[in-house]
Parts: sequence; structure tokens; C-alpha cells
Amino acid sequence: MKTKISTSLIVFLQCTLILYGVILEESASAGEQDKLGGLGFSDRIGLFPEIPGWKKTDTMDTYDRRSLYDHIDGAAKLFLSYDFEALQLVEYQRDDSASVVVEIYRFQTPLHAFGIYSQERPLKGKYLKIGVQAYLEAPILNFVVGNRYVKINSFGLGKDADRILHTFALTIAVKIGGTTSLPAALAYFPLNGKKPNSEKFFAKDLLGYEFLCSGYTADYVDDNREFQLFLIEGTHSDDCLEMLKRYLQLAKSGQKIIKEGQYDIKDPNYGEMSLFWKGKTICGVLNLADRDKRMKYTIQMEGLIK
Amino acid sequence: MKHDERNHSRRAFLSKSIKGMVAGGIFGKFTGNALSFNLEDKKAEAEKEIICRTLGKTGIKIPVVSMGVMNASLPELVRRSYEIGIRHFDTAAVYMEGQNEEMLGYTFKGLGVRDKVIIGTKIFIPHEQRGMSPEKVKEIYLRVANESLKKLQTDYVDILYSHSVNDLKWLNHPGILEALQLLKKQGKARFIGFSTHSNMADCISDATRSGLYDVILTMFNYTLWDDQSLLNALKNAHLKKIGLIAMKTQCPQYGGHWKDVPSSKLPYYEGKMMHAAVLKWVLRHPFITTAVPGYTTFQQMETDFAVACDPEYTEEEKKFLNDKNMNLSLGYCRQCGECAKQCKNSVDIPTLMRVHMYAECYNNFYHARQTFDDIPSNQSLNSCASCNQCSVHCTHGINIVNRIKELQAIYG
Repeated sequence: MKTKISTSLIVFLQCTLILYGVILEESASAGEQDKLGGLGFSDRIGLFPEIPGWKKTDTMDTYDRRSLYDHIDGAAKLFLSYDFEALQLVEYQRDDSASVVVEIYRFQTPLHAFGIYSQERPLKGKYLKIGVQAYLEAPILNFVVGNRYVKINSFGLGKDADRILHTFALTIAVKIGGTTSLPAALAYFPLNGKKPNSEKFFAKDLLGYEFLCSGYTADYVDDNREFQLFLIEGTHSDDCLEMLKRYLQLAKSGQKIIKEGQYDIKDPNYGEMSLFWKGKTICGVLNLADRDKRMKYTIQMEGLIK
Repeated sequence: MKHDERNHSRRAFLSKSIKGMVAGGIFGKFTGNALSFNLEDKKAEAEKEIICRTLGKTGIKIPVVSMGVMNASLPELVRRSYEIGIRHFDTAAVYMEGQNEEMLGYTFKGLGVRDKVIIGTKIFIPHEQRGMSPEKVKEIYLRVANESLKKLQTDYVDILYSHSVNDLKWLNHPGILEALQLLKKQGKARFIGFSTHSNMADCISDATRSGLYDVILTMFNYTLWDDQSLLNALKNAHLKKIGLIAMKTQCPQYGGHWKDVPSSKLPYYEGKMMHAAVLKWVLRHPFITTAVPGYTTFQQMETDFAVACDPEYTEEEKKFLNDKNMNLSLGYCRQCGECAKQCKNSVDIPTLMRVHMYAECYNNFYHARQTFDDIPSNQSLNSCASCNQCSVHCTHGINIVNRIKELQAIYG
């Protein structure tokens, strides 16, 4: 019993020291300095905490927009389109040759960090509240916090993998800081029928159309029928007007007068779809044949949009 | 007239390919009218002849343009790609943390076309973690391959690659070879291959010698136009019937190449023109069976796939490829003239470099010959022939001596 208490006390003290260190460094660091561009102050001091029982390797690999390709090959293109800024990579090693590799990708905004995370998260996964959100699929744990997307990959952790990955993620998330909230626009998607964790943010070319800007999608199920809702937030209503005009051109719609409201479009790639334009927002429904149901969902979204 | 023979041979070959004829067993064709289309106005597309080639000893015949799925997350883009005639889809276990394979599997299952498509996927171990034992590497490869099959919702993949092979040690790693061969034996991989992004010539040459791999997915684009060791390695691999697939074909889209170009002109250099022109450059090499451009929009898909029906350059594309800014971004001869000042025989080296570019890069031997003939004889290759010690040095790193020798082989 005495041994257990002593062990618990040591673990408690270690955690306290880690958090204390985190708080001290947070007071001096992070987001504001990143605005300087390149590798900012927070990068220089390092976001990689000491983890009891683990030793960091002496070197830290860093990549910027030009060199990211060297690390992840062609996947770099996607990251660059999400305004990737820098990547740092550190490996932790344990005496038994187990290792944990931590990659911290920094993006221009938290929304872009969430965007790339949303493209890579699985529909079915073990989700955790770390930072904005994390998912755990041992041997990996990935999460997003602030403008960082963190990937933790492990080797040889055995049965303790979940616990160790969790510890790493929690400690790193606190050290990075920044927002832990999902993008506000996700609240415009109705809850009924929505598949959990299916929301995605696209940095550009929403729906695969170059005339559309960035936007969100989410997957839904209604009567066993799968379909998608999407949302575009323009900077002002003229943006939306222009995008809508281009969309109608694509669909070869003869409609000339464009005003706010509901539109039914025969999309050459998605088939019958509906969208609703209001101010600087466009929302819509794809892959749902039943027009009444499409109407139902666009009306719901319209109601949720402020 | 050696140059005439070469000229004729290449031009005739290209001419035949464009017409979709079967030339020497390399090209095939099909019309897409047997494909299912959802929309009436797409039928015209289906009537176009799509150039197909055979992937080495695998015998797989596929259109010269495939889909690099890596950055695409829209099932509709994959579905539409299938509808217009694309049959080969390239993904990897690491793309989008596995979501890319998941999306592809979901889409093909929905379409019910698994037996009509060729799926290539890849297994990747990061470079910094490649010091593991062969047993561990084998274990990871087998585990990841099985996970990929699950995500792709299939019992087999057509091509299973070892991803990002940049050195001979990894190429011939016993753990990898054992795993790939076992998966092939189990019927989980019809063919095995590797992908390579650097040190390509060495890896391809070694694989050609060993014959252990069926397919090679290699970075290949116009920035490599004067890499003779790579070109020779590819030609030899092709002769040994190793299937060659090109990736990173439209490299300028990865950014950073246009730092001297005003932002207002970037759409010109990164847009439709660039995509089509540089993809054509790749496909005009007959040893490449197909390319896997990584498009993410419907417009890019249409631009890329149009090349599968007509790889001939348009006048605008020729102009684009000759554009000063393009050349600056490629390491092409900048025509600065510094070399000419160094030559004691007053050879017109800048023009000879242009001749070389027309011939080797664009396969435009007609224009190359015209340009060559315009050089006064006392400033042309004749003057070089009398000089054994070329001391000319290109300030931008072009190997002038090599290029002169190649021109002498053609025009000497």
C-alpha cells in the first residue's frame, strides 16, 4: 500500500511540475508570436514537453512550405492548400526501444488546422476531448488545438498504447494552447440525421468546383438515404451572387434574375440539388432525390444561420 | 542522315499514337460508349478515342491518364472519373490517414465496379523509422496491407507498392520483399511495385536488374527533361517489361516555382494551360504507361483526361512551354549568353541549347532542325568538333558539354 501511495505521489508531482512548466511557458509564448511568420518564438522554445520515462532525441526536424514535400511527398499539396506554415517533428524514445513520434503542423488559422484534421479523421473512431477534438486509433492519436494539427504515432507501446498516447496528447495540447472550440459555422448544420464527426471544412473549391470558395459539408442519413448538406460563408453577398451565377451557368439554367431565396439546380455531377442563398451565406442539399426533404433541410439551415 | 531517321521515327510514332493506333503493341484504344453515363449531354465525350497502353508484363491495359486520388475526398469526383473512362486509381494507406482508401472503397462498392477498375495502393514507413528489424518491417507491411484491403472493401489490390523508396537498401529490404511476395502469393496483391521520388535512376536500374518488381511508380515531369540517367533507366525498365507509371507530373502546382512572377499572372502559370501542357510532355514518352495526376476538382479532371484523347501540343501550349518564366522555373537555358562569351571558338552556344531543348524536351525535331540550320556554320558544331577542351561553364548549372555531345550525336 505504501508503495502505491508513493508511486501515486510521484506521478502527481511529476504532472504538477509538467503543468507548472507549461503555464510558465504559455505566459511567454504561442499564438501572438506566430504572427511573425516562419518559425516563431513558440517554435523556437519548442512545444515538445518532457514526458516522464521518455527521452527526446537530440534533433528536431523542421519543415516549411517549401520543404514539406520532402516529408510527406504529394500529400503536401493538400496541406499547402490549407495554408500550412510549418511542421516540427520530434521523436521520444524509451529504454525498451518503444518510440513515439510527435508531429506538430502549424497553420495560418485554427479553421485551417481544423480543416485538414476534418479531412483525415475517420467517421468511426474513438473520439476524445483533447484540444478541439482528438481521435485515437492506436498506434496513432491525432488532435487539433488552436492553429495546430498534432499527429502522434507510436511504435512498440503494446497494451499501454492508449494510455501513453493520451498522456502525450493531453500534455502537448495544454502546452500549445489556443482555441479548443469547433468552428462556429458547424452550428448551422441541423443535428437531426447528421452523422457524428462527418463535418469537413474545405479550404477552397467546395464540392470540387473552382468557382466556389471555401466551405463546409456534413453527411446525413434520413430513411436510410445518405446525403450531404453544405455551407458557404462569403465575405459579402456579392460573393454569393457571383458563385450562384456561376453555378447556374454550370447547370445550364436559363434563369437570369438572381435574388436571395431557394434554388433547385440540376447539377451535372451531383444530380438534382437545392440551395438557399441568404446574405453572405449559401447552404444546400446534395444527393437527395426527394425535393420536399431537400426543402426541409434548407429551411432548417436557414433558421439556424444568424 | 541520322537525325532524319530519328526525327521520322519519333514523329511517326507520335502521329500514330495520336490517331489511337496500336503501334508496336504499346498503344491500344477504346471508346467509352460502352460505359454507363447518367447524363445525356455527356455522351459525346464517350465517343472520343481514349489512348490506352499496356502496363509492362502485367498485361493491364489502361488509359494513359489515371486518377491520383491522394488529395480528393469527394466520392462524386471518383464516380465521375470512372464515368468518363478513367480506370486506374492510385491511393495509399497514408493518404488522409486512411480516409482516402476508405472513400475509394465506399465509392467503388456503391458503383459495383470493383472488377472493372485497377486499384493501386502503397505502404509507407517514414524514413526516420526505417531502422527496424526485417521481421518488424514485414509485420508492419502485412498489417497495413490487410487494413488497406478492409478500407478499400476488396479482397485484393491490383498493384501494391512499397512507398517512397529512395535507396537500394530499402528497395531490396528483405522484410519488404518477403511481405510483398507473400501478399502476392496469397492473392491479396496481383502485382507488386515501388514508388520513388528521388534517386530514381538508381532505384529503377536496380529493380530492372533484379526483376523483383512488376511496376514502378516514379516521379516524372518536365523538370527532369535533361536527366539522362533517369531517362535511360526508364527506357531500360520498359524494355524489360516493367510497368512504368508517372506521378508528380504537374509539379509546378506544388508552388514556389513562380517567385518572380507577378501574382496577377499566376493563374496563367498554374492553371489549365500548365496542367495540360506538362501532362502531355510526360505522356509523349512511350515508356510511360499512364500518369496519375492528383486532381481535386471536376475542371481539373476534364483538363487532365482530355489529354488522354489528344496528347499533341496546341500552339498555345508550345508557346507556354517556351515561355521565359517557365524556363526560368525549370533550370532550362536562360539564354543569358554568358557561355558564349567564354567560348574561344565563338560558338553560338545559347542557340545550340535551344536546339537541344526543342529536340529533347519537346520532341520537336522539326523546329530543332530549323533552328540548328539557322546557325552560321562557323559558329555551330563544326567549331566544337575541332576543340577537345571545352572550358565553358554555365553559371546556372546546365551541363553544356554533355548537351553539345548529344547534339553532335544527332547533328554531327
